[in-house]
Amino acid sequence: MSHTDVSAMLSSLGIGTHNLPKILVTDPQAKKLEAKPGDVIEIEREDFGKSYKHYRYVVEK
Amino acid sequence: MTMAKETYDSSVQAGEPVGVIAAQSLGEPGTQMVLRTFHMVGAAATAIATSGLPRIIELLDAKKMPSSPIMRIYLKESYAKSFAKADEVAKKISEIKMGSVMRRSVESFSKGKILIILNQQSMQAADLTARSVAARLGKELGVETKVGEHGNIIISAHTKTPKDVRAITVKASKSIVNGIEGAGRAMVTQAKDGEFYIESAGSNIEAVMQVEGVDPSRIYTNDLFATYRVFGIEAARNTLALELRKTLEDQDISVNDRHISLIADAMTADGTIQSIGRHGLVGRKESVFAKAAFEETVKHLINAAAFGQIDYMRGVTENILVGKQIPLGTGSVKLTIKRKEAKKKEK
Repeated sequence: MSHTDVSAMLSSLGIGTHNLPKILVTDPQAKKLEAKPGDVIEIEREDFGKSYKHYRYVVEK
Repeated sequence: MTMAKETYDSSVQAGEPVGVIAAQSLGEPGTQMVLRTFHMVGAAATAIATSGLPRIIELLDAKKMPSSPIMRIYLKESYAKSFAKADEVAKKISEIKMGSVMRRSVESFSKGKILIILNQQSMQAADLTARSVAARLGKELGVETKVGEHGNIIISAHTKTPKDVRAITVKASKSIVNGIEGAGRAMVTQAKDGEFYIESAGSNIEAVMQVEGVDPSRIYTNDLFATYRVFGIEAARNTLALELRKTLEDQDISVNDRHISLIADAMTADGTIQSIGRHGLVGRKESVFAKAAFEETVKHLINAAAFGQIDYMRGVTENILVGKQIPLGTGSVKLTIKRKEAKKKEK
């Protein structure tokens, strides 16, 4: 996700990046996307038939 | 309008203790579940599977290895259409140990040689040849092997100490002669849409992915940590939710999906798989009082006093302890008055 999109999403929800679920930089999927710490990854989830967007904040440890 | 209202109402209210509700929603039906693992007689390769409460506990405790791992291996298109080709792949994966295809072994200590007499019946059933077994055995043990008369295998141990010869014999019977370590017995199964795939009673997706014909993006295993290592945290979360759901469904228990999703989300929120309980989620509580209220009261209080820890009183436990309103529901809102407005009203 681009950084402007991230700040728009966060302010619409009234939260900060520290509130988001995390993903490690060493995670296989984060590596595949070449994500850096501080990035936010948008995930399209299919959960029990419902689809929605989920976010994970990339952290070092 | 009604649709919009319904949608709004069914979404959760701010301050709702969703965690407690999820815990109760799962805990109550849990009392009705089968307490013991029992073995079912079935035709599939996965006939023996941990189910019921033991499996739920295993998942929530985030055990490193499930007690009955399985894999569902999907194949590339050209392999998935014919049974023969799928079976070929399954034979490459299926783990067979020396012990299950041999009848007995004879050691010659003076010559430093071991003769392994194969069980031709089980060899045929597993579709193995003495030559392939000998080759694999040699590779696994790092010794010289050859096929002798009557299709038996001769190991040249290159040592004459009886102890070493015996050590090799013992190792040989436990050695893998076909397939992938940990993969278990693999069998071809057909899906409803006619696609052939492989089910196996073990888990080693890292190695199975390398096998030709396997579609590496579509391997499923109930081993959470293997999924986490190979596919990452999101996949592990989905596996966790799916496994919880399936285990409950097998017991004819219906729990709303959102509770299961919440648990799976909570367990994977920090980017790793955390267990629920003292060592995982609950153990990460920041409040001194909350920790002291749970276990080892004195230890926690003394430590907190010695290191000058601060309790921010943000959690539920610590607020109950001191008799304050808990920060949930009504307590999650704070009320303040705007001075100017208040004065206006007075007038």
